[in-house]
Amino acid sequence: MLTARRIADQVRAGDLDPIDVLEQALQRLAVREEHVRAYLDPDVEFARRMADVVVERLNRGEDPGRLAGVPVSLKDNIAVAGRSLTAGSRALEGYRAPHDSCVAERLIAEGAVLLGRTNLDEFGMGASTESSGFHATLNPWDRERVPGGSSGGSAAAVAAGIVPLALGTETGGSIRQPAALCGVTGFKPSYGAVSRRGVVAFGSSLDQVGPIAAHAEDAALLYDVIAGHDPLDSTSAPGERASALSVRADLEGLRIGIPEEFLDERVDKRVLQQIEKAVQVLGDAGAITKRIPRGRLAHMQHSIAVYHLVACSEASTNLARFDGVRFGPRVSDGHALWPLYEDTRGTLFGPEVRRRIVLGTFALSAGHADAWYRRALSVRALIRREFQQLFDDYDLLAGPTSPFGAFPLGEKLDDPVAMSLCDLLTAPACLAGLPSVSVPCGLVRKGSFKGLPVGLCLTGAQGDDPRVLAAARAFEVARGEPERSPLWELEA
Amino acid sequence: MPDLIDIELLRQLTRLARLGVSPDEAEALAEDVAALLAHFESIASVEIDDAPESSDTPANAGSPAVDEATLWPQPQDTLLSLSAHTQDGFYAVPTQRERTEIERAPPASGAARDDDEPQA
Repeated sequence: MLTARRIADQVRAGDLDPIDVLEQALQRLAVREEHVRAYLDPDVEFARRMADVVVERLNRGEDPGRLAGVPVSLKDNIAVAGRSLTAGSRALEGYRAPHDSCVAERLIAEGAVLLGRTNLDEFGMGASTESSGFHATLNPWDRERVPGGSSGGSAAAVAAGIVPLALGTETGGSIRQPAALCGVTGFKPSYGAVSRRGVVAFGSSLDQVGPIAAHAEDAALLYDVIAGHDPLDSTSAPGERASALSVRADLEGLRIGIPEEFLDERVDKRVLQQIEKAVQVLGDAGAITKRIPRGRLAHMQHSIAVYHLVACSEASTNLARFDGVRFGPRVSDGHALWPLYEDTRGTLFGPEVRRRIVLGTFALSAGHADAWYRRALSVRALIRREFQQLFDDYDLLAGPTSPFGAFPLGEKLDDPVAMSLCDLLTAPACLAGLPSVSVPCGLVRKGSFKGLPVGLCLTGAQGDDPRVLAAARAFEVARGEPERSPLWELEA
Repeated sequence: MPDLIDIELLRQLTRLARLGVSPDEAEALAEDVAALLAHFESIASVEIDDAPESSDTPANAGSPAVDEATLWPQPQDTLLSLSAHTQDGFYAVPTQRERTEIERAPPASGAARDDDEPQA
């Protein structure tokens, strides 16, 4: 599969037909999708119409844009006008978006061919894509294992080589963790860098849209397209965004710290071995790497608690709108309004969503809000300050993305505490609003995750998105082409 | 912190959240939420007097958009098209009744009736 950048360059130059590019992707989809179940709706005819539009623009002598003819799959919580938008929930089954999200507008304007709606944990709540209201997605490296989540469909589609690019969303790790578990690159931008308009809200102070790509350079390309101020999103940061592709991919002289808090005792030791090798690669390429003794991120140990309390509180209010009246289907005996609400929400929301709504309702309730929600906000402010102080001394921080590799399907599904640990190393950057990327850094050699990919996580200061992506590109060049899943070359 | 989630509180929370759960589900839900809260109890020990002013959004988030009305073509038709349950230009919902009345005389379960009265 060609990189997105090469596809766009060749389409713009007239050397490649966007319809051929799409048909090749559809052939890969036809062969590989049954192995991963990455899509909720492949929406093939819509993709064909989009490819036709790119051809029409070329025929008129127009430049279709930076993503000319590139197939891009979108997580099914990102609105595209007139297309299905379920957010992985039975509560939105059959619902169609009335307008484009900001990111969809930008993709279409740059000539992308939107191919399909990818699977996710319901409303983005989960770390395995098993909590989808429709079906689980399977890991392209091992079909008995999860792809991570909640953007597991997008990560699996890219890792299976169906599309070179996909969009995910992240609230506590939902782009980077599945990218790590599937062996691809996933980038969570700084909070406010990318508009959230038209994205089904989960935790509004945390949610961000970001790219998942087979190559770090393509992740930077997609970030450049979707980033920028949106006056219709009040949380969109003002001002121009620097281009990530314009920053030279070079590690020379970068000060990269490795906080010992990132090397938690709960991290699998064979995952840590791969991280040590990755740090060696960074150093060999000219970066100044240094261990940071435990203590400077002292409050990071509370990240999981703070993340869940804040995100669930916000979710409990954001999801109040889904009650069977204004959106989606309804469960009702037809006799009274209140039971309609309770039956619709109680029946159509899955167990993980119900659990998080109850937790958030508790944390916000009179008599408990001071001890839980407001305290969590204060601890979040402490976590954010510690990160800001570290970036006085370091350009980037490095560590593992996930404490472990892809785990077996069902292993953590009935244990919410165990599942919550999937966010152990990703939630802190979300709480602090920092840009952070996961890049593949090798396969586990032995043990229970043998043969599965590991992700190196690089995190920068808020607003330093181009530098983070430049470091990821440089790391990929220094280490070489990432290992690919067994599905990558699968033909009919 | 004491264990704060029992069945009675769980029922209050599900009522607040408008979530219908069966008695069996309520018990399991209470156990799960209690386990999570026990796991999150550590934040009670954090010294927060020194914490910066707390905010739920990072510092560089944009200023709120200008609060002004903009025309949306055919807003009523667009909004109604999002709902599967409309009638005569309104959302169609069952008659609102007081909760106490519902609890006193619960309706028989069954399919939606044809004589639902629409309410705007």
